[in-house]
Amino acid sequence: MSTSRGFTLIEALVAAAVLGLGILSVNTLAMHSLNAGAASHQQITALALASNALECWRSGPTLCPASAALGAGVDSLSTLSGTTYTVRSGVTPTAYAQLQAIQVSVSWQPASNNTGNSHDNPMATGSGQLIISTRASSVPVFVSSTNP
Amino acid sequence: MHSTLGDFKRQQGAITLLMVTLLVLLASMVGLFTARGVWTERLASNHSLWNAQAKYTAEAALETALTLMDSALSDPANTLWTSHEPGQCAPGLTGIEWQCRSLSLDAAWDMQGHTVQVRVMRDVVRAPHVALVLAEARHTANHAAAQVQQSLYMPTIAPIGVANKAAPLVTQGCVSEAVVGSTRFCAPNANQGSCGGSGYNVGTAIHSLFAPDADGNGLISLAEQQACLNVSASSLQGGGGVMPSTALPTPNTAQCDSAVWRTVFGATTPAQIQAISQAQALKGLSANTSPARSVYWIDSPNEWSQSLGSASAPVLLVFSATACASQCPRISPSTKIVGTVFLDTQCQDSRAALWHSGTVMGQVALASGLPSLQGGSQLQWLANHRQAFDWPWPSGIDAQRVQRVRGSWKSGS
Repeated sequence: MSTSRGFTLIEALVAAAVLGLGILSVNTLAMHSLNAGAASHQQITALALASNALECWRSGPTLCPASAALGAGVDSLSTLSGTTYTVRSGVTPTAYAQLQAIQVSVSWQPASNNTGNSHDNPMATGSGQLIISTRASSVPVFVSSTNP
Repeated sequence: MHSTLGDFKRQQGAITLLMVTLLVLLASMVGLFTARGVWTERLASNHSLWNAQAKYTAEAALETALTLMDSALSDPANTLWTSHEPGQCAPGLTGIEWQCRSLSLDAAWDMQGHTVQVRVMRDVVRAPHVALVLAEARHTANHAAAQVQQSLYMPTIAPIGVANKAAPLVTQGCVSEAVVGSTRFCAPNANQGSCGGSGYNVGTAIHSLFAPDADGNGLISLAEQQACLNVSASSLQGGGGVMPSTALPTPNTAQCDSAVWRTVFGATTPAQIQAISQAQALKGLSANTSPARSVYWIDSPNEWSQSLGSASAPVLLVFSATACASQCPRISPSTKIVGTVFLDTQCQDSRAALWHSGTVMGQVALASGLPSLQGGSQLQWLANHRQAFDWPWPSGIDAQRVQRVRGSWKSGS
């Protein structure tokens, strides 16, 4: 009888240990996945911001009033889902007067608790940077005077 | 019974352990599947980024190429279209009319590990003034690739404008026959019928932009017009020529400014026509290919004996100043040309003297008079004779500069 009780205690301890290890592993995996997911989200958001900045610069001040500031290399800050993104673009001349080199860099880091809505995504803990480079030529588009 | 209960109690721990293990396994599987989903999302996110970077690199290459082409084409002596590289044509543009080549970009450009290739191509028969520029960027390590393309209007030719001299012969001087009544000039006619028949043809058979003012009164009288247009009534189907009513300065033979050239070709220069002829020859186009060659720039002084063109596909023959250095090459009597024939006589009547036109359906234009046209020459009007060099331009365009074709930008990966 006493032998049976002894076995139950040991079995319970082993079971608890296995369960604990399992939960720890799963928890680690889950944390890692959430972090990776958040990092992907941050990267995609940064890419969207970089593309927006580029398209804004291309469309000019009439369609995009912010383009002048972007062209001047002024930083633009935005906090989305608990991450603060800093967009900086620069336009530099090339060997050809008609051609300009454009670089947009987006860096990101977790928003501090007193700014933005960091509670939206508590897993957004990573920081990073994304750089997009391209060029723009001033060769015009022919637009017929008869077109609307 | 007691023994069975005892066995069960002894196995309770094992069952608990089994249950826990199963729970842990289940949780692990859920975790793994979630991790796999996240990993896939991460991979997709990376690919989106790499593809975007490849696209922006391809765009940078395209923009650089447009700038280089704009810069190159502003130089009349550019060599942009003097070569053809067969492997550079895009899939689907493999016809003989497509001239293709690669374009080298400047090396001082950080392409972020991408390999960049730019190709330019154009149709030398239907639209030698429109180029398709195709830029590709590829990153081998990231397995990312992108392609962008844009079409351009190029100042390789100019719009020729509306035809305002609808006559089978346009000259810049007087016309006469070697043998009276032995030639035939057929004016445009309302019925588009055959050449001949009294009263059948209407319009102008010969249009001269210059007639000498013999009496020096500043006007070109009817008598002066008739003296200048020394062609018999039987030859002149459709009647009469149009001469300027006021006297114009005698064409300068030392520095010929051909008003006839501008009448026929608008602002297109001889060098541009020559370049397109060379491009068509470079591509191996001939009367027997499909499409057939449409522009011939001829420097040889030898008699021309190849019949060319058809009513649906007229040709352009330009006998250059080199070919006409002493006297313009004749077109042999049995030869038929459908299209436009231009003789660059440099404002000197002697270079067109005793010329033979063969049979030309369309228009013959020359930068001088045409004295003593030989018997058997027949010139008949064809309304669409300029089709070989009347390439389509949008109205209102400044054809002197490179411009993007609206709506032609495309991207892909």
